[in-house]
Amino acid sequence: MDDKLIVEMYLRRNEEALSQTEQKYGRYCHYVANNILLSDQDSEECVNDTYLRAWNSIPPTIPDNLKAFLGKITRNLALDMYDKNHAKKRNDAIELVFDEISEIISDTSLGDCTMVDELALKKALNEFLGSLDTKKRLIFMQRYWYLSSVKDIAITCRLSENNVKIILSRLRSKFKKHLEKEGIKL
Amino acid sequence: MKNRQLLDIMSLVDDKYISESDPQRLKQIASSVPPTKFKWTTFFVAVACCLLVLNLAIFIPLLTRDDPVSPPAPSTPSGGGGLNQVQNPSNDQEDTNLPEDSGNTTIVENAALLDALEKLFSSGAQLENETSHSNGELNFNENPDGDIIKITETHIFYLRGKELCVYSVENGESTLVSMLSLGGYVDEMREYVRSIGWLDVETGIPDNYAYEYGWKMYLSPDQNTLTLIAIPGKSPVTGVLTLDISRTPTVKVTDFKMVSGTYASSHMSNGEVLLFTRYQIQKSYSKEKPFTYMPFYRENNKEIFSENIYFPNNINSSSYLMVTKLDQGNATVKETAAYLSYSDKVYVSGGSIFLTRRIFAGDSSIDYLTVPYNTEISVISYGDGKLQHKGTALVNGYVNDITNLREKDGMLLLATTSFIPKDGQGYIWYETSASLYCIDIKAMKTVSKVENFATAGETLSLVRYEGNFAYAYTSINGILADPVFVFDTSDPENITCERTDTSKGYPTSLIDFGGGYFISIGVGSNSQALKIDIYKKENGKNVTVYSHELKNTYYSTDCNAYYIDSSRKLLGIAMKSYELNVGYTNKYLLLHFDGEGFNTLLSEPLSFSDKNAVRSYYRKGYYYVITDTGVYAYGLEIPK
Repeated sequence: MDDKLIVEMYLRRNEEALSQTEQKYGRYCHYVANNILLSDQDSEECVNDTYLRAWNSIPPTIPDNLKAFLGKITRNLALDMYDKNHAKKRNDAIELVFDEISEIISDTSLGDCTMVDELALKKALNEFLGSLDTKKRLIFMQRYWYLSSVKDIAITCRLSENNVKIILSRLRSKFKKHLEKEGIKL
Repeated sequence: MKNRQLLDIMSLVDDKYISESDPQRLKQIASSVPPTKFKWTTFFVAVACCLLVLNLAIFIPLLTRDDPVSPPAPSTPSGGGGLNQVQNPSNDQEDTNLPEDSGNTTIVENAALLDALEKLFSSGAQLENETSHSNGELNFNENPDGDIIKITETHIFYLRGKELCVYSVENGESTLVSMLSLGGYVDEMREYVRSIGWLDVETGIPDNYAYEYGWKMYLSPDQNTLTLIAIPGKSPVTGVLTLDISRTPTVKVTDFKMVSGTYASSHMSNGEVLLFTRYQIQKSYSKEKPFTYMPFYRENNKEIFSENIYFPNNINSSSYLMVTKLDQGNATVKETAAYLSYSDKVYVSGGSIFLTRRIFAGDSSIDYLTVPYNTEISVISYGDGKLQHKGTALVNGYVNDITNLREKDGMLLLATTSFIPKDGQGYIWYETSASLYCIDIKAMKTVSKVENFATAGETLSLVRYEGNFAYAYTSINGILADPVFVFDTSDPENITCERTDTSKGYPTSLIDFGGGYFISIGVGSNSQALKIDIYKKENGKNVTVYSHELKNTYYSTDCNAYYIDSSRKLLGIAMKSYELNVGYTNKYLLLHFDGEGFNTLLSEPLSFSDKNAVRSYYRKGYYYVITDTGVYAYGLEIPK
């Protein structure tokens, strides 16, 4: 079913919207959550919460891209759940992503007290992604948005794991320089 | 800026980039495009043609072309080889953990091991280490005797996060009488790791953290000693804490040891605890610092290295599986052994320890989309005294979970995700399937097998063993596929396989309920449905006696969290139910099976934050449910 029709069902408060959403994007949301939580059951809870949130937020929100809208909700919920559970169970893969992404912190960062203009950051981030060739953008997004493992990215992009690691390292460095050039300190 | 906030920055990404980079969509595209290796073949053929033409032009004899090679099978299960052994000299070496500048370092001579390690690291070969294919979740189901709760006649000992809570219990009344904080021991482990300068093996940065994933306990047969094992998520050491509980409520710590490696598994029998840890050799190992390449345990501020170290001729991993045998009563280490390369799965049953390792089964010059593996299984006996390596076997495929293995009557049943070779016009590539093997443990020889029973492209997802039957569930792209494969293993030399009709759901636990009945608890028609089935064996077939599904329900897949009383025919389970517009509700259900169906004895809201940490038992007219929020007692008459 077309996304526009599904959104239409949300707007008309037709509960069929939820089963259509599950049918079309259930697996996708589960994948996003499972990459973070590494647990089918926790991921299912997360996905269920996603449907509830989507139901409660449409309207007033009318998403242009339903898949991305749902993906963002799931990702945030999964990260929240991970934060909550992480004292008991750690996902080493996520911790590695945290370590990688902390390289982007500017050397002159003010630490926890730094305030960042979100609009400027959004513009800079998307400009950076737009400046990359497709393959590199896919690698960056899979790693830092989808939190996929290096191995999975290597399989998807038909590269060796070492190659992927090198590309990611260079992209992080490039992203940091881009932010500094835009006058953004994290 | 905190790391989580950095990750949140990515939520500012434009929607189009999110959709564009959906990994599942990309994987589908990647798998539908022929492998690129073909371009290289085209290139070499073109070069050969040019040379041919050149030779014709200057009258040089023609080059000959090799005949096409028929695709080799990825395995030849003729059994594995023996293991090389290194026995550590006396561990009375002084100052083995002194810093480099102490000027008084002693070198431990293990020439054969050091020689093997030098060859391993200088070869540049891709190593199969546990971190590269870990399933990321510990499975406590393997050792029902090790748990977060132990119950004596008068007290409950319950592990709640970083604390051991001791409750006295009598006639439905419970009182928290003692609490022991365990965080300090994890801090001690962290401090130790920092003090020896341990580096994270992947990133090379100092690895001085030890997050508590949890603890588990063993109660000694005389009920005077508790052995607690700390299971940090990613720490180079595992902790073993011994408590004297003979004078409860006073609980006395009598010993704390650190054992090198991350926790893999543990098992208790005959007053001994077997602890299995995975120890990875540091990339910057040095023979002046033997703790960087040899497993050890720490006692009296000294590293005691593993008595015996075994390694195969074809070492393909820098991880060991270390076995530490402890006397539960006095916490002494009775024996240690370490197996280099066997760091995949460990399974204990019937007086034997089974260790597995994955061996790459393809051509190292080819970049495979689906990487083929064989699995080598080594068996070690521990029942009578010393640990002894007894033999090795080889099968096609890899083991994704230890529940894929089952020892029964001297036979090892083992299910794998296996690999089918395909001819790719000049090179070999592989598709996945699933296989079941039956191995005679004494001879370590495959006596029967059903290979590649699943549709090509599927992988093995779950295996459940019950009596003489095995049930295999396969999946494609992580989604379970139909049908279920049922194996009759009553004749080990002649295993049969039957494809059953489409089955909705799958069991996460199959438990003997006594009197010929079995309970299956698992996922129902969708992943948010809890399904409970009871069936009985009649004329060799399973006959469903009772089946019930609870929709929008989440439950623990840890079978320790269920209460199963086969004599009274009771099933207790904690669950989280979900309703749109209401949200989640926690509750506890206690059911009694009367031969035809379940009657509800208890259906109560229950306070808990972790459904995996719910435990219960029945004693003297009271049913006790213990959660991470407290002990709840219900007066109950159990029907006879």
